[in-house]
Amino acid sequence: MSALLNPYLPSIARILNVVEETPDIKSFRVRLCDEQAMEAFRFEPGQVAQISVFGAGEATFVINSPPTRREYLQFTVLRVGEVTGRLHMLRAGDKLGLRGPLGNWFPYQDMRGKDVVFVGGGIGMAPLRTLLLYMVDNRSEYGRIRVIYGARGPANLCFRKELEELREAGSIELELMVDQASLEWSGRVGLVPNLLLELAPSPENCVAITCGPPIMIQYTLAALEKLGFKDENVVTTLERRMKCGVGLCGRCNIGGALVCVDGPVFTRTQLKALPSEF
Amino acid sequence: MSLAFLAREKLPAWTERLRRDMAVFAPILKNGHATFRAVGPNEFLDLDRIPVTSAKLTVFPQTDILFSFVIKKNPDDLTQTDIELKSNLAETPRVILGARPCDARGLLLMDPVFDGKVKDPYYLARRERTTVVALACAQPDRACFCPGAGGGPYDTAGADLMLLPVQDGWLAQALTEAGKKLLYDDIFEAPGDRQPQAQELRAKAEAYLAHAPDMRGAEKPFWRLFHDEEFWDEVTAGCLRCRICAYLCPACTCFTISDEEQGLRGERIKTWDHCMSYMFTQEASGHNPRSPKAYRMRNRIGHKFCYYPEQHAGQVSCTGCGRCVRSCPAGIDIRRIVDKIKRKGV
Repeated sequence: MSALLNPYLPSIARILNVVEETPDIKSFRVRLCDEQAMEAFRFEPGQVAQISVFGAGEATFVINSPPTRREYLQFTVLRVGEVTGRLHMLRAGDKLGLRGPLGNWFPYQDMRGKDVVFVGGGIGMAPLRTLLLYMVDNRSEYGRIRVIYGARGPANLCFRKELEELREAGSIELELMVDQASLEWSGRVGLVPNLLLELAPSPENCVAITCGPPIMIQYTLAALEKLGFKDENVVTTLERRMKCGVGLCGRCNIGGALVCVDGPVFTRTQLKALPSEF
Repeated sequence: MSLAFLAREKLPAWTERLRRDMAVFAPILKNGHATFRAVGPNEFLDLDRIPVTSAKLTVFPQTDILFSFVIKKNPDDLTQTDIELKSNLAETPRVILGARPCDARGLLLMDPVFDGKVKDPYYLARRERTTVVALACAQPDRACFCPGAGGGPYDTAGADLMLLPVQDGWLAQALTEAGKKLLYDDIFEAPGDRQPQAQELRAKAEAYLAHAPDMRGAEKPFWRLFHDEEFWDEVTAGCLRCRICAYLCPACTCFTISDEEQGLRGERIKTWDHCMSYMFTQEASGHNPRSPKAYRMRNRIGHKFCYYPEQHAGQVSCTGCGRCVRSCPAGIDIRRIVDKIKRKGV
């Protein structure tokens, strides 16, 4: 196949298994059917891929398994629209299309030797997971790793078990919170940016990485600024409607920058150079 | 450069001759409008009226099949399926007959988009096989402003062969080897003494457009006005979001990709899209970064007169063809918007 020459042509991948993360989030673990292509598949934490359900179309998802774990590529999908609705109907053994890796990635080399704060909201935890697991797999290279993660309710916390296991293993510090508690929830209730301000991590030698709904990102960036985090130490990954994923179709621009090729990962320094059109 | 003469009555013979070897895209008269399309047998070319549509569909069709897919069930285990993809590139050589200088320039503006860091093989397959026969504009109209976008009614940029109108036909001037090849001996004649007449028409057309507003240099004023919501509301108010401006624009390249399925087979299709549509940036979550109409107009104008020129040495993504002005049902005039930006954004 001329997949390299034709940027629109997906590779076919097979679903190994499907993990039900929450009532409306599933993780799909896939391998490219072409074993040689799978072996040769290289990506960096934070890069995305276009996943096809043939007949429904394509949508963009981050590859949220880290490049340090190569048995499968994981995509975590919130059921919201046409493509994600059809994706949620797929089972182990089913085939889908994959184009990638696309876009840029988290500047993890620059984060070496620093403390790290992850601030996630809802499905926004998926792109953070890639970098988090990459850091866990290279644990000695990073300082203190803190994860502040919130979701609508306890049932909507994605990767909860995995995150709690990492906390128990002493790899990370974890603060979970929900917008609305259920009867059995004894943890924190509220909004992530407020918790961030309350915990007030020191900006000294520390990098903050955030992803979540646009409104959460906006308030988190403001909170980080208040805490004294320098622009170059604040990193986010943006979502936009994308079609081609390779810089041709023209819809994911913010001013002259294209989120699909110039992003999706931006530092606040880079964001400040762009018009505020989010 | 040597000239040849094509008599008006020889145009059908030339068209038919070209059709033997390649697909011919030209303005065809239908229902009183000339529109570019693939010419069929004995169809009547109209090289007099300014075509309503641009010639861009020759290399960037309104809908383009990226690939077809077939889902094959395993007869021994119906839950197991395989997916086969098939893609075909359009490899027929083609000629645009009667591209206006603004159409030819449009191709040059699309090239860096589809032939940049990432190559669009569907565009390139057509583009590399396309010869451009441009027709100089002896009669620009009130909507035309090509000099303000860097071109001109007799501009040869992007053309392989140039047709210069005269009373009884066209003087043909070859600009490339590919253009020269189309000057068949049995159809073209010696130019005779028609050159002064062509020159006279040229001078008239250029004089007519001498006061076209300059659409370049709006980058800085645009940035100054970026957050002026009142300004954008005002210039956008009349827009009906009908999309005609982008579909007629020789420089608009934005597209969407969608799937069409019929049972176990289907196609993935690339289609012209439009930035004034709400759906253009509508995300599945419901979030839309350009929800108000005015933000979308700001992006449309910004793309053409700020973002594109910033990345392409000041060249605007507009050819001054006037098609959006001519066909806008709400009377929106892009010249006025750019002029306002330049006046207000100082």
